[in-house]
Amino acid sequence: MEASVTLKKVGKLAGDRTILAGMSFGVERGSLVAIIGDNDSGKSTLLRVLAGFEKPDYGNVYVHGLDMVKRRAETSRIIAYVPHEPDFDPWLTIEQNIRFIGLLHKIPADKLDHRISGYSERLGISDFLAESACEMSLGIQKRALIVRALVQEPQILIIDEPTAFMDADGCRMVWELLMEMHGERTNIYASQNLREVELANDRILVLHHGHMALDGTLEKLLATTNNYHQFHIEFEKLDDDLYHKLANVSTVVNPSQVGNTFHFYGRSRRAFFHVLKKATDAVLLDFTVDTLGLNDLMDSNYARKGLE
Amino acid sequence: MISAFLKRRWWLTQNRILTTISSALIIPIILYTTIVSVLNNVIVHSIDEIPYEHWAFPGLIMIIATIGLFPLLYRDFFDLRIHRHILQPITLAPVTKIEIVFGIALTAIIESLSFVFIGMAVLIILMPNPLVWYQYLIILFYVVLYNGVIANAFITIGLVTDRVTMYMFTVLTFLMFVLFGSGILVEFEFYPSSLGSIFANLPTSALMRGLRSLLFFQRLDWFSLIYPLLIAAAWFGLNGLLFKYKSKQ
Repeated sequence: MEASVTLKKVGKLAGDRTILAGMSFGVERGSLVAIIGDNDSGKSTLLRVLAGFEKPDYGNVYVHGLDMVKRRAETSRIIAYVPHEPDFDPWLTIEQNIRFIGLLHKIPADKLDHRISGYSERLGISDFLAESACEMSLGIQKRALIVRALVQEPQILIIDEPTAFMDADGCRMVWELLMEMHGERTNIYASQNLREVELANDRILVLHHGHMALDGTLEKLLATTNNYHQFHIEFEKLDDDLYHKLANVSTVVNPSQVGNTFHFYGRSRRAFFHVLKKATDAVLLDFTVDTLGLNDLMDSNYARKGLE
Repeated sequence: MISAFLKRRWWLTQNRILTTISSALIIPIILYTTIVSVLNNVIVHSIDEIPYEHWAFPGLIMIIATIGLFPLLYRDFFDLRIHRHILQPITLAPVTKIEIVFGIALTAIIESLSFVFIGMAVLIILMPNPLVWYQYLIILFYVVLYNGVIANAFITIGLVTDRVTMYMFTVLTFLMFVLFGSGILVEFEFYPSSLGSIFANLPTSALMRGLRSLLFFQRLDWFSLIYPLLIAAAWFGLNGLLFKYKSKQ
């Protein structure tokens, strides 16, 4: 597959602090790439560099083979960016804000009309187009930001937190639209909503202190959790004695207690039976077994230790 | 590209049309009653024996143009840049930074002309006026050049300052300097000769001198026309580079 975006040893500094450290990777055309990481791990900075908002302090970014700094005019026609927080002019209506950026991109008026009405309809903001941007909720403004980016018909769409501030309907509409475009255009997004990332990705990049800690498919990333499972066993009464007895089972990893429920991780389902054997006198009410997800991978108390 | 900025300016004006009109009506009344009507009793005639009210008329128009321009450029290059990051999506469009600076400034100058039109109408009612219709057109032409220089100053201040207190301090100092150092209200002959000769060579002073020379003596001073124009053009270029630097792109 052809590369859509290529980073070569890209670094970004803020005074003495390294925000991005020599990052190199490529993104295939038409792929859906999710970027995750802790707060302040460099996700938004990476997106801003990819979008051309900020120049890297060193290294190069290539978009469809064009150097982003030297061929800015061409690359800015290829990329559209949706920031985390709305950046609309509060004295203009939502539609005027979108139309202005469309006009700067020299989109013919009839096409612009068609795209604004089409994408607004899809994202459920048609009724708000004539409203002043500052009077709209953040969720509506965020949807409008996505419309503003899509009217440019970009080949690469970069989104910082695609569903930030949105209600359930908004999230559904945004993801339905983005997934429809999957394969047609390259989508790179950062999100703290790991459930969302698990459902929508071809590839996941995990940033940690400005470095690329992990890079791969969801399956590849979860393989780093060594096939651990998460167990929840609810007892009629989980007292301290019972908790300590169960926590000391050798196959139990990272145990914790919430009320009468005993939580723990285990590499195989056998751990569950080892716990049961120790709790023969207790009355068991319920139990669940989950495979690990991104949330567990990113949790500093568990699999995340592998990132350190 | 300019048409996009013109449309934006038109939408912004439309969305606050009442505020614009009411400000444009009040400003000339305040300026006339607090400045000209008072100085008229002190100065009476210019050095060239022109009644002070007539002599000050073009200067008052320039002050109105400056007042009309200031909030527009404060908003675009300081408030929206610092507090709302609204210039960022504009910088991602396939237009150069100089085009952005020029597009915003030009449309702000055009909007400031609406203040000037209304201001002229109000002042014509308030003051005895010796000018004929085509001389008002000459004033408008010079207003555009004058605001071309002033706009650049507002843009530079807006781009180099990041705190509102520093911005306001700098702008107020600059406005005081323009008001009293450009021959808008007081002739340079009233200043100490060394200071007067320095002030007389500022681009805004050159424009005022050229405008009065054309209005009252029918003499076209090409230098006073070309020199500020070149300064404004070069300054737009520098502001474009400054904007590029500040936007870290």
